[in-house]
Amino acid sequence: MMRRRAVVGALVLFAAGCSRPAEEKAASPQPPATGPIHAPDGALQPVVRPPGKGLDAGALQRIRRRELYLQGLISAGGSAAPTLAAAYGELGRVYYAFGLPESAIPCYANAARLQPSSFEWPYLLARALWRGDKGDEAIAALGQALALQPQDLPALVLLGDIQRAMGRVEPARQAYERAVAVSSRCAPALYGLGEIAVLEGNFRRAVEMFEAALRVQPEASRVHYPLSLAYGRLGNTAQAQRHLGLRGDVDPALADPLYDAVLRLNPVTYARRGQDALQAGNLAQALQLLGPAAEALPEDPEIRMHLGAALARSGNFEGALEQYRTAVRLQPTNPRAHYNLGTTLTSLRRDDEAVVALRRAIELHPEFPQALFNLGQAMRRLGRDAEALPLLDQTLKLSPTHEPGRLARARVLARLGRCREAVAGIEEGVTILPQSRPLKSGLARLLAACTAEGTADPARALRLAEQVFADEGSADNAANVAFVQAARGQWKEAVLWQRRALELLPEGQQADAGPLTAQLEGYQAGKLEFEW
Amino acid sequence: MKAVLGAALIGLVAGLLAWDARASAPQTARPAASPSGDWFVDVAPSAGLRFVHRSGRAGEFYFPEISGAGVGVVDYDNDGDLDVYVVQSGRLKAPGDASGRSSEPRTGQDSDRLFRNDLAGPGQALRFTDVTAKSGIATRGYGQGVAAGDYDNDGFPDLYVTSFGPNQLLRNRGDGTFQDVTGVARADDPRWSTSASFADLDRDGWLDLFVANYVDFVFPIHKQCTSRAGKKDYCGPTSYHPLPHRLLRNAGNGSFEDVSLRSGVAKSAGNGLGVVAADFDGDAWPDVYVANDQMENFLWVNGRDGTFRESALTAGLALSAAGAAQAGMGVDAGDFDNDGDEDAFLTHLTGQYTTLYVNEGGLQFSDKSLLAGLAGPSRPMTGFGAAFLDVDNDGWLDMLTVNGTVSAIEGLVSAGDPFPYHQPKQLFMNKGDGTFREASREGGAALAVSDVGRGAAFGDLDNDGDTDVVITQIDGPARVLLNQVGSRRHWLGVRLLTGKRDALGAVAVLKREGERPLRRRARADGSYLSANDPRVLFGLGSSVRPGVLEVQWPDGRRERFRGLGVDRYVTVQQGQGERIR
Repeated sequence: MMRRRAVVGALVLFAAGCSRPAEEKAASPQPPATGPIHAPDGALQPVVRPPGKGLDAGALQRIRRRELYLQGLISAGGSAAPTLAAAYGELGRVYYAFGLPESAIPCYANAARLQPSSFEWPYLLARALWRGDKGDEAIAALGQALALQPQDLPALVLLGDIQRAMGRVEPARQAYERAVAVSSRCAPALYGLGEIAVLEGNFRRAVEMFEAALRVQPEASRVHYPLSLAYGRLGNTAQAQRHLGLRGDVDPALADPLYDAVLRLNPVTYARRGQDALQAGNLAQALQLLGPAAEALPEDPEIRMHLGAALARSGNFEGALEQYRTAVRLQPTNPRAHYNLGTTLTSLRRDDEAVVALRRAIELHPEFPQALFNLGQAMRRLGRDAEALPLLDQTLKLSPTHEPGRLARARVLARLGRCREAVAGIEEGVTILPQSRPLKSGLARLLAACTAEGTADPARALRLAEQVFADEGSADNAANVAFVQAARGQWKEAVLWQRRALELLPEGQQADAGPLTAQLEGYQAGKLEFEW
Repeated sequence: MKAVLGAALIGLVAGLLAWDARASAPQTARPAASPSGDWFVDVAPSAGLRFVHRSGRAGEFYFPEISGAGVGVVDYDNDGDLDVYVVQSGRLKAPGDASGRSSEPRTGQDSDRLFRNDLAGPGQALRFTDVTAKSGIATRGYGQGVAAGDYDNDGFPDLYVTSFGPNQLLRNRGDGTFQDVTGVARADDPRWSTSASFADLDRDGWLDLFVANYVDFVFPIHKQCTSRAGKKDYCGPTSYHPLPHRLLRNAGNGSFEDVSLRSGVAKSAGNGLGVVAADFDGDAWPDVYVANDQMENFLWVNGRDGTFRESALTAGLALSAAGAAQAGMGVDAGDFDNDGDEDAFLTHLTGQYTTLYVNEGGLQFSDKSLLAGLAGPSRPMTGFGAAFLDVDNDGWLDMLTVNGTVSAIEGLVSAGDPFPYHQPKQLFMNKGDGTFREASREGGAALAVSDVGRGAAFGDLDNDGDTDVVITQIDGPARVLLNQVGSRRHWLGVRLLTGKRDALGAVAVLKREGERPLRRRARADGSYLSANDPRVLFGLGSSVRPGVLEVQWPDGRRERFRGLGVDRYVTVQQGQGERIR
């Protein structure tokens, strides 16, 4: 007790007479880099400095700097409680960001004790405790945080998530319901309530909650799968099927600036989250995360490739090229880097350059089906059919279910007048993949228009094309029927089907209307112009 | 009925003869029930099972290094006790050829090991003898898993050894030696294969082979991943592309036909790590469930015409209740709630949980992990080898998981641990009400020891009527966990034979007056990279009441057997029971 009073006195004196010491100033004289950082107050926990053997030099430097700063404050004595709290808290953040939640825990706990009015420290403490699988302690810390800010949504949702993960349904429900009471648009809480309803077998309620979550965040594709199962349990197979088809990996999200600020301290974490976002199809978030990660870790070829992929998928092919070129420079023996570069070049129709990059990828990894296929495609487009064919053969040898490879091979063969082989290849594909509409459409086109070697069978072609359209009434499939009709010389029918294709073109794909219209004009004039 | 008893007696006598023949061998003291009351005791060193896994890791963090290797418990010499086959990984070195995978022979310290069980009698001390040299086994590639099944119906179980590189079918000649028949049997798969399952999928009397493949990692596309601490670490499966699995149909003439495409199995690619064949829809045809790592699991429902329909999504077996793809590693199927159908569970990554899927009938499953009390305790662990087993023979299937992470554990890294991936094992006891309680502490020091656990093979090594476990770990010794508690209760062990071989896939239901029927499946598959005891064990609790055994054989026929007794192993032979129509 005496000691505590003395410390408090010292803190008050420091606060009265000094401004916040600079880190450099506090760092002198340097304490040893090992051993615990002892607290100035017996009520506070010592911080055991991690040995740092598994840390890279940059991370260790940042951690040691924060440790020194805190140690300096303590050694100097007299720091105001909020100053000391901030120093503990900042060290906790750095520990956590670099994968040391166990070390972060006493830091946050001390910060919370020194600054009991601050929501931030018990909240981050709860995060660290949960990361360290200390569920009950995390719940206690969240209780402390929520006493200060009872309406904090990230804290309420985290509380619900932890309770649910620990199998405690009722407390989880209460936490989520509190969140929904604060904001009826809190998608993660609605989702959590849906999951609880599933656990309880209340599928009607589950549907209600999941649908509500999706109304708020339609992009939260993760919700579709449990929603599909819930609909299935209610006997609504149509909705079950629909949501099954929409399932994805994007979680219902909630802005959490406090936690994000911690994660931002480590570009590796940033890069990982960016990669996760990319895999989940959340391109905007991927770009937001991967850009800074690439700046912070400029020599990391994997981050360059992920950033390149995010840029390419966003339509920024030039930006993607720059990233892939950097990846190739950083790791010239990496076949994926060359492959990505080549594939992006093919997207830009720069096939001559693409061929060089893809050849290099295959030299480095001879059994690389995608590289073989893309090189075959580039060769085909360049009219180098004889060179394309073995590449596409090899693609199918390595990956017999490669639909685009099979179609590309058939087109090359058709162009070479080897209709029998072209048809046989697609027939084999249909045997392997009987549900494949692209293969059936391709077969219909071959049977309609590949006339060499007596393989044409216009009647079967029409049946196939109509069957595919009946399975999926899309613009592409309507245009395919039109093509077959035109090949049969049924120009009136061809015109009708082509018009239908134009009508079926989805909004946002009007760019495809040009080629369809040109074909329509051809059919109207009794002409079928195409290239295999 | 007489015939059945006769068969059982013959088995018993043969077993006794075998035990007598080895009675002069030096004995190792049987570990008495642990003074501390531990439920499992590691007897590997005293039993002579000395095997240390070698991952060949040299700081490059090649992906296969972290997958470990499996183990099989298989009675290769047909002497009535389970022998142990341990897969070695070996050196991991880029080859000179275009395959990009390892293909070198595993020799010397890098070779797989076969340990013969020289058990003197039920419950006697375990003693293993390394008979690898005599067995003629020579394997290649970077070893992964082992599956056991008698593909040629000669009464001796054969082995299928998977690898990152070529797989091998090792035919058991019946004289203690094995012959590599991969080429003539057309059973190879050059890709990265993991777990495999022998099952008579077309019910023609010959065991077919389902091989789970993992990802398209090859040395040229090795990726470098980084831990949060900024150090090199292993990448996950999403860094590579999944591979289609392979289905080999047994032609019945010593060879297999690759029907992967025709059956539909190769139409989907998955990061397969675990596989179990069981009848999930109750139509008496085996289906195949594949645990895929970080993506949707597959349930191949048998179309009864040589084709399979992937149905995991609609069945609720693909993703967690939350719709998340989990990192499926170990898998098992069993009737944990004794309601007469196959439930399933899978082990996953840290931060996910061990997922229990309860069969609701009509090919619908529910993820009940949270309410079953599994999610919370399993969340910190990365589980691999795993199985349903009745540890205490109370008639309810418990669960044991073998753990060890795939990315460095941050606390261990910062503490300077040289291989910071190790975790203790976990035991979950079935409370009989659909829930489990963690009983790892009661399991004892053998469970608490922290290993980078991977393979786990489950079976009654000492024939005392309870399930023991052989465990492998990365770069560490194999463990033999001898069950100390199961035999304190009553039990019945049954070997189910069709022709000369174990009737893998047969389902035995033990019916006793006043008790719930117990349904158990004869299987060697499941777990992770490992092969299990094909015999079924019924835990009878305190009851010695005789029961009636109803068996559904793999061909769909059903028979009834009576007078089997308790606290012993019996053999029942297809065709020698009362026919059930």
